[in-house]
Amino acid sequence: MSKTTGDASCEGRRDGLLRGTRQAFAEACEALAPEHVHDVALQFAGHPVRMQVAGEALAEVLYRCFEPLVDPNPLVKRPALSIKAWDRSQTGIGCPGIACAPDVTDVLGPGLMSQYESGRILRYERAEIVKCIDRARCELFFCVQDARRMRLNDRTKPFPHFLATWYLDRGVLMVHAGAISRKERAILLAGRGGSGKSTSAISCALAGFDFLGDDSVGITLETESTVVYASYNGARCDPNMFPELESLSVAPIDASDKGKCLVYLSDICRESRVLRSSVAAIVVTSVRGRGASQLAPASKPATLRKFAPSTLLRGLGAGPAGFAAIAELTRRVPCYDLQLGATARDVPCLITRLLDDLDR
Amino acid sequence: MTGQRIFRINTQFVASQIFDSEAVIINLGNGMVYTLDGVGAEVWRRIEHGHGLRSISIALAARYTVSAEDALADLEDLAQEMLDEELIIEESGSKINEENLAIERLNPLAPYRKPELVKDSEMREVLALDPPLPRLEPGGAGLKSE
Repeated sequence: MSKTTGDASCEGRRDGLLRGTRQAFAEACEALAPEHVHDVALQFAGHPVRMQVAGEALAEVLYRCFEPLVDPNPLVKRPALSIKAWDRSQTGIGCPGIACAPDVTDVLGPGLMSQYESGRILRYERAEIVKCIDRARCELFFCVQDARRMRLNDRTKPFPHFLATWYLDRGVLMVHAGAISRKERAILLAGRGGSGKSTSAISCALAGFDFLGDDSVGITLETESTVVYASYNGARCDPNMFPELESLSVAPIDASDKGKCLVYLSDICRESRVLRSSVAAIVVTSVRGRGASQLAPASKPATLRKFAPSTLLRGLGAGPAGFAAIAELTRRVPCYDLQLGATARDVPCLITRLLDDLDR
Repeated sequence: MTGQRIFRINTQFVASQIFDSEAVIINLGNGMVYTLDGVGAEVWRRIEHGHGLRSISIALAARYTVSAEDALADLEDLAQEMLDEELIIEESGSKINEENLAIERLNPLAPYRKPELVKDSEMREVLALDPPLPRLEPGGAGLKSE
């Protein structure tokens, strides 16, 4: 982890720190015919969001990523977030740097994350992607080298840390869990990477459940209930697990995709568009790999131990307040362990029975 | 009661939650998750309330089948382990809080088990390649919408 000290000479220029980035986006839009610049209204956890994208391929990627969140009847109102994205290969415009030393720079995966003005402005960059967010102006910029060559992980969640930060600024905690629901009663599918969250969520979606997310959803703790919000439309899964989805899935792009393909759940849940639901239970998944899948009650401390760390410790975590929120969520609803057997085909039946039991 | 060792939780990195008789503790700096159950959870709760080790040992002797001397020896071991894991910080010259958690005498005494700090290092291995970033203040200073 490397750190640099902030540059005091930037003090007077801070309002304009992303001026060059904003200008680059404007130039990218001007570089294309108007029909290749897309403007979409979305809703993130009930907040209006405007997404402008320059470049057909990138517009397709981002539209599919947030497809269930498209607002079909947007009111004319100031968006709570403006996403401005462009494709360098289509527009010829790159993303300029910030002419100011960051307060701090950290390694995040294969890239660098820099913070300016005590975290008001964040910038992440690696060879093929640059993204910035101004948390006060609620502007998120996203520039890719070539959308056609984006890794599946980036297609599934293009700016996960920045979006989680934006959600958190609005009291919504993004947790590392999937969520499926029926009749507006949701099951959170928690567990560490590779524990079967996506497999369980896709199995349930194929069986007719509503899908809210496969490994990242928003949570708010309201007085009367705990609400989960839909997030991303894509899920990554082992193509051998769901051969019937082969024609719908995007094949791995390179080795970083670890053999997993990408499925858009709006292709499966064509009829439903559930944006929020009330959390009925937390189910922590794990893979046993043989026999029938099994569901059993779990202790709340054990659930917290399995649920909280991967939410709080990857990237920009929510800190002690996030831990307290996940603990409160764990206290509020019953907790279960789900051991996936030789197949996940029996998971929807177990979840249906669980929801029925909880409703009694 | 004077001359006893007193600690505080290292709240810069450590968050905890207590469920009945089990404390779940997370070190947000290095990814380690810990559990203290039974006697250990009670010790953690009393450290949170500013109780010194000798005070805690007396409280344990009033509730469990252990002498205050033996409990104090176990507490010294546990405190050292928690210091090594950077979960707690030793205070010097702090006031000892004797008020907030009364000593509840049990009759008969509950069986005593030496408190044990159980570690789960699964996330630490994941985070060795991708360490946590400094925490951002949600909606904090300077973030009024423009």
